[in-house]
Amino acid sequence: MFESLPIRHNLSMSEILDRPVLAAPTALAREIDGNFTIYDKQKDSVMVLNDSASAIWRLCDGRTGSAIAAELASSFAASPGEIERDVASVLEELTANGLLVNPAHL
Amino acid sequence: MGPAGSSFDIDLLGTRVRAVVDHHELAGHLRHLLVDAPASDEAPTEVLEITGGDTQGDWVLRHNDRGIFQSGSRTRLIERFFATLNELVLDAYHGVAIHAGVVARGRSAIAIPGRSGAGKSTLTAACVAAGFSYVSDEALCIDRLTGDVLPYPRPLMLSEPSLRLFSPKEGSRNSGDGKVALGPADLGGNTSSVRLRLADVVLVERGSALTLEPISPSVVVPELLERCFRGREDRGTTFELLAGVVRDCRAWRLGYVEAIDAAALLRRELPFSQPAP
Repeated sequence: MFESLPIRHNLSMSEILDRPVLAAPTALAREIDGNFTIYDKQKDSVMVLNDSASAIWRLCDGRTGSAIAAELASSFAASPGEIERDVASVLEELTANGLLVNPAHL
Repeated sequence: MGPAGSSFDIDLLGTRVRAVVDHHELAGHLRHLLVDAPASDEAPTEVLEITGGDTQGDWVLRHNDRGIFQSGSRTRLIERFFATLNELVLDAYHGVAIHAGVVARGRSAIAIPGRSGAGKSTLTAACVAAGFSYVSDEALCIDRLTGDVLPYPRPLMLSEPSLRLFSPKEGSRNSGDGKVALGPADLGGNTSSVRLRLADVVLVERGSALTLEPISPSVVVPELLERCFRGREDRGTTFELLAGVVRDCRAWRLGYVEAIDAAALLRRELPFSQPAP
């Protein structure tokens, strides 16, 4: 269901999932054909999210990665553990690209 | 202006240009190529003047009384004339302009974005010859307020190899030393002169096997934004406009080797439906 991406950087998966996440002020997102296309105003670049990343992005409203994983698990009738790694990968990727921020840092 | 010359005024995307041509036959040729450009009855903001040629030495092109090009080649002069016209029009255009070939069926526009040299003009010409109406071989021009596609009927500019693919009617000239300007009528086609709705965006892959596959419209947004002619507008605003326009479109990936085959495939496979008012 979800693409598996390797987790990079220095944070553990639990640290990534414990962080609240919110769309960055410089990220302009529009939903097209069920998926999100995001324009980064700072980098002048566009990222097109696939189905799973779009489902995650839709829930990035200040809740933590763990809460996002739990929500998706209930929606797709899968255990949170099954998708936590994939959710963490996507959140880390979007954060590394400057599209997600910790709302406490705003 | 003496009896050997001619001038005419046109309005392309809101830029009013006066062409002053001191050569009767060339003036007639340029009028033919710009026959679909709306005439202007207001004072021009730009003046392009052509002098010389034949026994009078090199052709000279001036913009607002400043010499900008000189050549013994009529083909190169015409190419430079339309390149200059293009720069003036797109620099001044307040809407969104994207580097793309555009054709139409009814009130539906089909855009083929691509960089210079990617084959847009050849594919656009092939589509016109296949029965699509001509909108532009250079730019997809979108009205910022309404999202409408505006016609930008500059002549098609084809290289020598591309020109050989078609059978242009009498009136086109080719001296083999530059791109040749053709009107859609020279290809047996016609021009769409009305506002359109963008119905299809086709991303092309030249050199691939002949295929046409549907893709998500979201995929075309980065391509369209990348191909935007840079203007004064905020890029984020442009992104929002494109996302809104594309949301109601179909998107395709077209692989082809020969433009004529590609045009026939598009004619056969693209659904023909009128956009909602």
